[in-house]
Amino acid sequence: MLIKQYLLPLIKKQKLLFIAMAIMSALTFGMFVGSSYAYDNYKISSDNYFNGYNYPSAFITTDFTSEASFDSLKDVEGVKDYDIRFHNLFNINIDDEYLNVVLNTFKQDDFTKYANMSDYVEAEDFGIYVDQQFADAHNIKAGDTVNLGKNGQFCSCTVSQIVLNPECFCVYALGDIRTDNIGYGSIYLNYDDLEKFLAALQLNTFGLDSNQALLQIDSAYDKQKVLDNCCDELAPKVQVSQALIDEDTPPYILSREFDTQFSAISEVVPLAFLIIMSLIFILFLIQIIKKHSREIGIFLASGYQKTAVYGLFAVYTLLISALSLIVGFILSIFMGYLTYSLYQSGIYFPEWTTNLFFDKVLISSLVIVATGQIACAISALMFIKSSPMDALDKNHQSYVNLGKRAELIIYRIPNAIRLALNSILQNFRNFLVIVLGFIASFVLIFSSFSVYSSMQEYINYTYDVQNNYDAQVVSLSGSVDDLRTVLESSDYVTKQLEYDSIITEISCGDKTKDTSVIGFPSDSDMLQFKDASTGDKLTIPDKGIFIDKLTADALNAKVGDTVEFCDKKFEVKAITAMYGEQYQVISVENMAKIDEEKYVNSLVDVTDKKDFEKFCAYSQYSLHPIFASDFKQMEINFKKSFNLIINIIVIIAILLGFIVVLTVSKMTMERQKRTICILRSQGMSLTAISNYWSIQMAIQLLVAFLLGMPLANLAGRFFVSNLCSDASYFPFIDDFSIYLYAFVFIIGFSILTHLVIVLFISRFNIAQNVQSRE
Amino acid sequence: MEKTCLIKTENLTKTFGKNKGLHYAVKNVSIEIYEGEFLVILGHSACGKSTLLNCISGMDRATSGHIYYKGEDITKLSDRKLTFYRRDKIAFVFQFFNLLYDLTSIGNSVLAPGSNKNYDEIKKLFADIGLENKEFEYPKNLSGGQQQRVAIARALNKKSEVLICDEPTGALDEESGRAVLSLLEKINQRDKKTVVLVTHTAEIAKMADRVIFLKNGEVADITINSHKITAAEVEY
Repeated sequence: MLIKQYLLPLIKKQKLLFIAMAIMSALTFGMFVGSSYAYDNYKISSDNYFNGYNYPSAFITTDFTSEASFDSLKDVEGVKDYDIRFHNLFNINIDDEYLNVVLNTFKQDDFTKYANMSDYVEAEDFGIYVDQQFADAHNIKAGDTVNLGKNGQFCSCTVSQIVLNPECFCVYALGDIRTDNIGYGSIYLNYDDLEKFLAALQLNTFGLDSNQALLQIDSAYDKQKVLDNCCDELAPKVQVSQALIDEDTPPYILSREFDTQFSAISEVVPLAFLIIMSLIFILFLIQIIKKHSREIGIFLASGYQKTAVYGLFAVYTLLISALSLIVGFILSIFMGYLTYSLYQSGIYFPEWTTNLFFDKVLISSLVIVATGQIACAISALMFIKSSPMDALDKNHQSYVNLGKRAELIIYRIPNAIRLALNSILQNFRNFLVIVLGFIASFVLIFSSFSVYSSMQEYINYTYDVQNNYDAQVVSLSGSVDDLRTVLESSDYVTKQLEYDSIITEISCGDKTKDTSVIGFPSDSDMLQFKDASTGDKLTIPDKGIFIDKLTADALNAKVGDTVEFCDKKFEVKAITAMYGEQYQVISVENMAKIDEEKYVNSLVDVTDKKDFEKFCAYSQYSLHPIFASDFKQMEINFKKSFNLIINIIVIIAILLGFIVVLTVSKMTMERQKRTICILRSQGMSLTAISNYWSIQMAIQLLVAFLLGMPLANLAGRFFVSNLCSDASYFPFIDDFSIYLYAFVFIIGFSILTHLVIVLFISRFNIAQNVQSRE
Repeated sequence: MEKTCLIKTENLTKTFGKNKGLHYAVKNVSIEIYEGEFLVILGHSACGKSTLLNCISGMDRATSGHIYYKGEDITKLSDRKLTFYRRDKIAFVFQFFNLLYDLTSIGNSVLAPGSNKNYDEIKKLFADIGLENKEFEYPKNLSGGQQQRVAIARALNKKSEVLICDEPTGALDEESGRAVLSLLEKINQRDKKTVVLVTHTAEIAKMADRVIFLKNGEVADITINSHKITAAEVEY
């Protein structure tokens, strides 16, 4: 009954507040859900890139068996550009069929050239690399000629180089930008220091399991505390040869970091906004209900139950929530579509759909509705619980008596200041509430800035820095004995170590021997080769040897065959692939053409012969993409989406701020309309009155600034250190310019408020308002 | 002795609403208010007397016509100058006091810009209007009559030339009302301040030098009281 009679007048009477609250909720809801859309779109895109489903460009690899095949790539239709990234000569792949460990055919100089991305020079002789353990066991030296054969058919080849066992070392370094150290690369240590590291890290048996190595590196991040202690002692002795976080940092790591941090940004910041919005919502509803306290008194005096009065405001709040959900949903769809469009460059991006996010919409809707109802309940409890007479009596407020002495001083102060101070003092609770609101806003906005600037620093370091830095060691792999062997080699320590060029680097360690390799990894915990089909751990001495594809072709050998080497027989446990990666940028259109050629799955497994053949048929060359992903593109998308989210959050924050300023000012003006008109009737100018309000606002902002900024700083630290997975990658930047921004923000906010106040005051009708009764 | 015209209205009209809802609150009112006189504007409720007062005091703008203060047309003044007019020339006493409740009595009495802030003089003023030792009381702790006296103190403290009172006793009981009227009478007679008082009580009009009768927004009659009564003689 009451709802039917009074809901419409209630809305009409407070239409600005009604609309403001609906817009605020809508913006918050839109941001809340929209951020999820944005993040999910990014995630899909990221996953697709990561998995090779999506590409505006692609990597293609070829066997470097001839210069002609290499050059021929230039003629492939659609190839816009190419570059040689010959960083993975020793490519450990584990699949159903074989293990790729051994390679040969290149002279040492060629390795160096490839490593430097120089022109390819075909090997002149057929040499092999032999690992040291095997060579020792069979008394083989570099330069020896050995027979390699099968079924009595032998070919003669030269032992190009004796190499160290590839399991013997792998040294990684990850930088810590908190201490201006950054890098992903190698470190050089003397043996004593290395042992200290290993002991501190408890990583002396760190395993390297093919691609899983990266995961293990990642897991080593958790040992940051150990590292900190360790590196304090050893930091001066630690050097990184090169900061390789740029292109050579594996995408696995960065992708995970991005996901985690982007996820934190896209979820935590909107959540924080939701909390702030809820506070504002409560404040607004309190004001609305407070303004209607007289009406509430009349309702109660007329015999309405308190529940009926509460119901009126509950429905009122529900209407706001409903309106905001409709508008907010449209907004979130818009945000979602915006981010979706951002990633549409990839041809494998899924079709636009909202079904994926239904759960988020539902949860967010419930949150918004619940927030409104809680706000209503809190507000109602403060006013509806009172008796009719209390509600009707608007002058029950007691005032703080300052005493004669203080009054004698105060009443001489210029009007605007006196009134402002007096208003704060006499309405201290309101003052506190507003200050708390401002503090919350400061904390939210400026801690977001902190996270954002840290994020930007992170991105900049990640992508743009490629210099030498001191670094802290994050992980090491390799046995102590082997590391000792390697690191004690003076030639070796002048070279850079990379996890994926172990053989190359080892061979570099023995430059005098102008030969190549055959390798026999020993049974070790260091390299855990597994048979992908059975999961069995493979060890060569037990089960055989690895040979490279070229050697296998020469012997016509396949996995399981028995080959003879140095008059002994070995089972071929694996035939290795030898890859030089060549970066080919292929247009989307041409990739689509490939797709039309029934090259359906862009995620090409090199072992999938059918795909391989299809692609070869198309390209007419011996090319096969190993993974069709462009991490650079993912990086661009990450930046785009991150900036989009931040920009949207900033725009929404500004809009919310503007609405709050406008509404709070209007609300306060409305509440104080009579006071303002009394002052006007006494001849106080517009400027003086608006000054009175502005001074109050300035004091509130100043107090909030002084209290809020340290809190914002703490919150920023909290966000950065707790919400982001890797503190070493993602440091808190104590940027004092934030304080400057805050100050400028306060000035801008005050000016805006002042203008709004002047606008409102100038429109008041003095005569009408001074006639109103108390 | 020739009387000096302080305020003069010419065909003053004030309307509210539009089209069919158009309502004339004041219609073609032409009156003169003389310096030092006690003028009562008398009329029934909604006859336009408060609207007329609002226009004269510069709190509202006339729809048409002119209002002259010492020969200057205030209907043509900018907002800024109109504010100065309210500040310097006019003191207004409202029916419902319009005090600021979070200010003490002394705080209220110095509310207007340019008010006298000399404490001794304010104290004397308070004593003069029967508010001894009430300077530091909040309005909430004062009776209606006392609150109206604080409002009068605020008006007097402005040192303006005209005191305009809109039903100053309308919210008061008989005793308090009579005390306020007595105060106004004293201000007029002793301080020679021009007092314009709006009321619907004919008995109060007997205190005035002149009485302007308003009916339906128009001047129905203007009379000069040949036999003025004092505030003490006013019968409620």
